[in-house]
Amino acid sequence: MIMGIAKILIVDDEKVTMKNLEHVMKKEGYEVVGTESGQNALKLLEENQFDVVLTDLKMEKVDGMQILKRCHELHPDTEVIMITGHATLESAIHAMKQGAFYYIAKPFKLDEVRKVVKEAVEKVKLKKENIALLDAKSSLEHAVKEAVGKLYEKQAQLIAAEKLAILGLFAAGVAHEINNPLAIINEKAGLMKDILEMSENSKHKTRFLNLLDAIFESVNRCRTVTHRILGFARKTEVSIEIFDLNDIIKHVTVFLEKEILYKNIRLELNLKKNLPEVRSDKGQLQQVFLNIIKNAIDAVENGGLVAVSTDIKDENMVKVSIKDNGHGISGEDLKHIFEPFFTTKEKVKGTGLGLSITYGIVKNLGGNILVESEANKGTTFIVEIPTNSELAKGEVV
Amino acid sequence: MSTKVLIVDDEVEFASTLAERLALRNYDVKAVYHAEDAITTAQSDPPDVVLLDLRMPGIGGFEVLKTIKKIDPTIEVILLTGQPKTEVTGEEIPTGLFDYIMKPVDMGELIVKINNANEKRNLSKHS
Repeated sequence: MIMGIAKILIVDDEKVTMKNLEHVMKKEGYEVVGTESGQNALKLLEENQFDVVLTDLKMEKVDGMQILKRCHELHPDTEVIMITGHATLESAIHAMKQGAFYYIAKPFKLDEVRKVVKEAVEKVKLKKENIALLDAKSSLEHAVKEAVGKLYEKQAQLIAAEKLAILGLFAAGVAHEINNPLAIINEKAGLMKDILEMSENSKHKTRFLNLLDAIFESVNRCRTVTHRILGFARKTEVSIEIFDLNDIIKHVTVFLEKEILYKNIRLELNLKKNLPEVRSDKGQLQQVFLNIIKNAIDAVENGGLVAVSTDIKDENMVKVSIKDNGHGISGEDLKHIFEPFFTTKEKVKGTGLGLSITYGIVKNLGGNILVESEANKGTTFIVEIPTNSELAKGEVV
Repeated sequence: MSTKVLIVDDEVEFASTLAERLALRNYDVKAVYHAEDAITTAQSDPPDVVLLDLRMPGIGGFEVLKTIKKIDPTIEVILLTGQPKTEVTGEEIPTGLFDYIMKPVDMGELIVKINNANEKRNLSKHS
């Protein structure tokens, strides 16, 4: 029995004492089984679980110490109280060393027995409650761990999906930017080869032709890289590097140069000199700023303004502000912009995942993301990044 | 009579060098660097085959293709692109395109495509 009525076993070869104790314990409200035989007590212990065993020490054949030993083998949580008419200090110490809960000398006062049994029952009850609590705690922890694991898995999937979408949008730009100069190198080297092949044999002709072939080989390698970028979808574990946030901003804006040029957008970069280097995930932060700056470009009209600035927030944080003078976000929309699948863009342009994933990444790296906007005036995103994302633990996966 | 090829690409160095290389292979080549010039040339001195860059500032490659096809539907157009055909852009590829070739260009492949395009142009002209 657990938590309900406590179950007591009374073992004493003096029938009168055993019956007396049985009567008293029953009156206390316990469920009581009494026996005069130590052998029978062992049998009862095999078949039942008692909370407390009250046993005489000196008995024929099977004595109190044997009962104590067997009881603890079978039921480690059960408390055993020794009673004896031949109490000595040695026997008391011996019984306590063997794990008895208490030692009562005969003749005993019934109140003393009541008190000791009550304490033993309380102790067993607490032990059982504790075990139940530990079990509950452990299963709760397991459930939370599992749920958090699932969330991270889902987020990783969403990030991967959004990465593909963003890369899909920009793959054309990347291919264009790399392939055009590559195509020029290819043509120039090609023309050199044409001219060389038409010219008479000279001292260096074969050498030059070999060198040109080496150029063609490198052009082909670059072309392969371009194609890899087109199919590129990196996994999203946090990978910590040390870098300058200004470099990321420059890199991202170069990536978006064609769009900026086509929309005739004025891009202002106010990058703080001597900005502390950050320990964070470079690839993920590139994605964050690519997404926010791309949104700013989408938000402004042709000829609009996008201003990106970096600064020190405090000793642990740097901040990046991305400001546009575009159409702004209404108060109602502003409440939802970080929610997944919320978009104000046309279906073909936006998946509605960009900002929610951006938010997730920034939070995951121990940072913050804030937004201020006014309809028809423009929007400012402020991204705060810890200089050491590893120290901003708890947030970092 | 040699095949008349018009190269349209805002990357001057690319277009001019490719033009020179095709000229060495006995093509009658002209290179222009603006979409508008491509249309003017198609009207004043129609080519047999146009090598057309897709992404250009201003009216863009697809508009040029449509206009050239309106001027003379038998002029064949080969698209110069950095990406595989299916991923050219999100836009729908207009009809009338003869073929495409990936940049950087493989000269042997380009010659085959220009010759095939010219052959088709000759067949259309005489049918």
